[in-house]
Amino acid sequence: MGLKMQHMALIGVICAVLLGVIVTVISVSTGGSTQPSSAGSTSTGPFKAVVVLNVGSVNTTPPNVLVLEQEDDKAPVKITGTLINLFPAGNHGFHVHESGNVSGGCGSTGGHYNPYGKNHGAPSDDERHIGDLGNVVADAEGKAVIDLSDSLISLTGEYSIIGRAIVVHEGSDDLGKGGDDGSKKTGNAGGRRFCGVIGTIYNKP
Amino acid sequence: MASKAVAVLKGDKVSGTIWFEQAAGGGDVTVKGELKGLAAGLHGFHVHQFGDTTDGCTSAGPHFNPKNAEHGGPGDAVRHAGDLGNVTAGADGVAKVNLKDAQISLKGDNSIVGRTLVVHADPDDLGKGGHELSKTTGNAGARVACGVIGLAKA
Repeated sequence: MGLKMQHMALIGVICAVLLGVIVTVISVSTGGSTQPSSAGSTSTGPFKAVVVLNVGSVNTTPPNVLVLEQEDDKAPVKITGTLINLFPAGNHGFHVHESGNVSGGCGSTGGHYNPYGKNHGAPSDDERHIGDLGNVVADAEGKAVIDLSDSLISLTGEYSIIGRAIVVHEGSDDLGKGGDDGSKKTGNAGGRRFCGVIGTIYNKP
Repeated sequence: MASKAVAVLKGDKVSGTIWFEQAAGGGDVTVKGELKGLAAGLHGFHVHQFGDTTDGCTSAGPHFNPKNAEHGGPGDAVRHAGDLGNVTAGADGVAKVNLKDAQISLKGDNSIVGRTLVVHADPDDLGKGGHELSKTTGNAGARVACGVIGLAKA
């Protein structure tokens, strides 16, 4: 074997070793991302949750109820239900808040759920809190039929909203476009009209 | 970071707030708080499977039981994860709760977050009453107050 052939063989071995290292690194990193990290993450869909809005300054009897459904961990979450006792023809900010702590009423549910530390925005914006679901819009009787779908919230995995709160505000969410500091934080949606803790009904017959 | 959760229980006469805490590495969950408006004596105290109070406490379903075990007391090896035993109310109707439990968790497959904490009208016989309901519910009777367990800031 000539000197040139030996060099070629050596380069071949080095390439094979490098390829092996790269393949190992890739498989370790993808393996890491599939590790279960939170409640329900080892389960398979469909995932389902319910929230009874029985806390707040204005209660309805029976309380308003919303149902949340997600086909699998990558699917959008569908939220359906009917809200009554809203302001006639009013817009009401509609958010997932970080805590499901209603020990101090809706006030103790913390801020909008925002694990990535983003500015407040509209549901269709890239720059938004995970919990930013925009506004619900009431009809002349103060009733809103909710039928929305959101791709950022999830009912499973590390950033699950199970055990957090849904809050319906007194006022309109300006979707981050109000031009003041509050707009980029809360959307200036005002007080918290009603709220409830998001509970799991996964596998409920 | 440690995990924390809270349930605000509401019923016709009974109410209260119960806090849950667990260290970052897992382990026992401490359960602390106070319930009022109870009849004096023992009352079954359980985590139920569903965080659903649309039809009052009934819609919370059965005891949280991920291992599909028989009902038992909190100290038993064979028990539902949700079997927290009894709370004891004094003559004033107040039950002070302060217990630790190894089977419930605030994370992972046995997480109780988003499920319902229920206090019952009657004592839980811890599976040993010989009643037909002993091995499923502890024969603890009606659900007098409940609340969905929500995440709290640690």
